[in-house]
Amino acid sequence: MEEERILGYNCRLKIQNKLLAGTTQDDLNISAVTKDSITKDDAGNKKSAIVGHEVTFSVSGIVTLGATAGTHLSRDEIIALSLLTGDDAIVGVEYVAGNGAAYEGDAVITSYSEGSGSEEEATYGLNLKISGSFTLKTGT
Amino acid sequence: MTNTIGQKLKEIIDPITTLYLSEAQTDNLPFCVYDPEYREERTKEGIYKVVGYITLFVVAMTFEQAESLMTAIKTAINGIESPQYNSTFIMEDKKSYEGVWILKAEYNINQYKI
Repeated sequence: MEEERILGYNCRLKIQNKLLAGTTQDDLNISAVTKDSITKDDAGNKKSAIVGHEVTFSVSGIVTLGATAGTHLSRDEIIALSLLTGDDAIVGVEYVAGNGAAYEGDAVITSYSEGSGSEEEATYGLNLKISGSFTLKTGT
Repeated sequence: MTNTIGQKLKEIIDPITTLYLSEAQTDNLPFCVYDPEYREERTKEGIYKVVGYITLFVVAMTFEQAESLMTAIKTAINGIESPQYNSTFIMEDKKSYEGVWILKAEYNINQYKI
């Protein structure tokens, strides 16, 4: 298979099957959760076992009002999702990089922030954490 | 998205005094010349903004005429504030060269996708 490099704008996160309007950056981070053990037989060499993963997303962009209805989440919809609590706060997410496979899972929004300097566009930052599993989407 | 900042400047400044790009095509004073520098900014949906760094020069025989024209041009530029355009005044400079007055003003003019 021929190698294919993709530009960053092809990497997109969807929340509730909608893109986030005004996005300039989507970052995916997968961190292993490890359990370390050591016995005297290890002669001081610690052993690590992966017992799970922490998957997080960071998104940043330009604050956008009145985004395309049906396909994009605009600022007020993102804030509304960020203020939900309990089971309502769990949102479905999907992440795809170009023509690569898509991954999906449930997530919670852990933070939303806005910056608004007087001479530039207002910007936002959004952080999410996967709740449960983050798996290959079937059919991709 | 097509850059229309130059057209917009022509539209608002020509009624005040003739505007030329980079070099005056006349020896008749007064006139105004602008030097633009542009760059595009993008979101993942594409270009959302054209940033224009615009340097304007008003050239006139007297300081009073040059000052009056520059004041009218500044007012016109302030008037483009809209969802499509906005402007930020950066700095100005005034000098006389061999009896001709040259007033310079620098602006940041942004054009947004609407």
